[in-house]
Amino acid sequence: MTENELLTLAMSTANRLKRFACHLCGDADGAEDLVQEGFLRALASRAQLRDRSRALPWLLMIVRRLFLEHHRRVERQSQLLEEDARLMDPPIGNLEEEMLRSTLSEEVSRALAALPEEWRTCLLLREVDGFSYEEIAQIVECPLGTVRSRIARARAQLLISLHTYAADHGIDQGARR
Amino acid sequence: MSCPDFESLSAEVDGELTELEAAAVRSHLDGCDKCRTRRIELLMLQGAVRDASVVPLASDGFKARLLATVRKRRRALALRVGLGLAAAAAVAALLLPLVHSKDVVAELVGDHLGTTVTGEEPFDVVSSDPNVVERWFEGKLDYRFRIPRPTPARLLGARLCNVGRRQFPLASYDREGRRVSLFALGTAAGSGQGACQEGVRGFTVCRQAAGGIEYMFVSDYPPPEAKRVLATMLSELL
Repeated sequence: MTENELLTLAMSTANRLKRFACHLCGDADGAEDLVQEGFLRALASRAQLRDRSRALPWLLMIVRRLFLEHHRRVERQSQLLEEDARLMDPPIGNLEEEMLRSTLSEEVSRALAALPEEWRTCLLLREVDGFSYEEIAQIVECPLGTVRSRIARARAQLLISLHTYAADHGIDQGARR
Repeated sequence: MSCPDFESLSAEVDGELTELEAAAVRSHLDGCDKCRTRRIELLMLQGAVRDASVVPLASDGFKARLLATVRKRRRALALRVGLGLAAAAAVAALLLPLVHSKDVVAELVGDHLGTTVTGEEPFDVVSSDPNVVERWFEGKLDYRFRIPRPTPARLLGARLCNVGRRQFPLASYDREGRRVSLFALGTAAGSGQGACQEGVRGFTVCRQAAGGIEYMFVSDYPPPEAKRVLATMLSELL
């Protein structure tokens, strides 16, 4: 892949790159710095990219690697959480779409932010960017089965948080396990 | 079938189960209120997560920074090459055939594209005055890059593009709302008729020698028109 092809890719996916980095580091300015640094590294190592159709996941993988290099502590915390966590069975209740989009929208954001980075990254790559599990596995550099497990755990944890919040605030009366 | 585990339901809403697994889950859902409710919640959660994940769009300044990253890297590379090659002239002569390779043309077309993808002008010299631009190139090339003054086109600026170990000057014009680029590929014998190729990374590329320089013109005009525009631009240089 030539420099210009990589540049064209980065320009055409600038919003996706920034969004991904923003979800990693949590602020818009830091996200732009992270993408720029990742892009520079991608330019230097573009010969390693064998499959051009996988260029975007490859670029995202580099951005995430950089983030983890800068935040080793976060990575270790996530690994500990993941090792300890067992997939819980979330309650089933009467959460409604309108409720999720209005009353609980802030709680969704809070619950997302509270997830381990690896769970949140896998979930957002799926929900927001629409990547397949196989592509996500490439980006986060883990087996496909781990991606499937992380996404499920992230969703389970979100549902638990939302049901708990709804029950505490008298919104979700019908939750059951 | 007993109720599928949460992970299987999660993968089912993502369409990530095998056909056999998905068929089994769907069959179970038909007769299980609890799992149907859980699946509906998973679908609603997808929308809620998307809504909660909106971040500001990338600014034009951000895109310009990406572009600047490439240019800075190329300059550093060119400097290293320049310092390391004592016999630069001989090497340049050896590399001259590169000018005619498809890869080099594709790279230069990419530079043309690079001038169009951001709102900011990625030029080394920004001027609508051809004299200013010609003076900027003095001493940077081993030949004189003469800048045509075509009408109705308006000169926007110019830059040096690095491809491989060579530098190619680029002059960028706005011609009736279309961005067109004129490169000089090096010295050539005399003048000649233009030749065009369509569909090079989506653009039309025309080449023509004039006044001892081989020019390359990149635009989105169809070949006959591109050839005519280039000929008109270069006619004043003869």
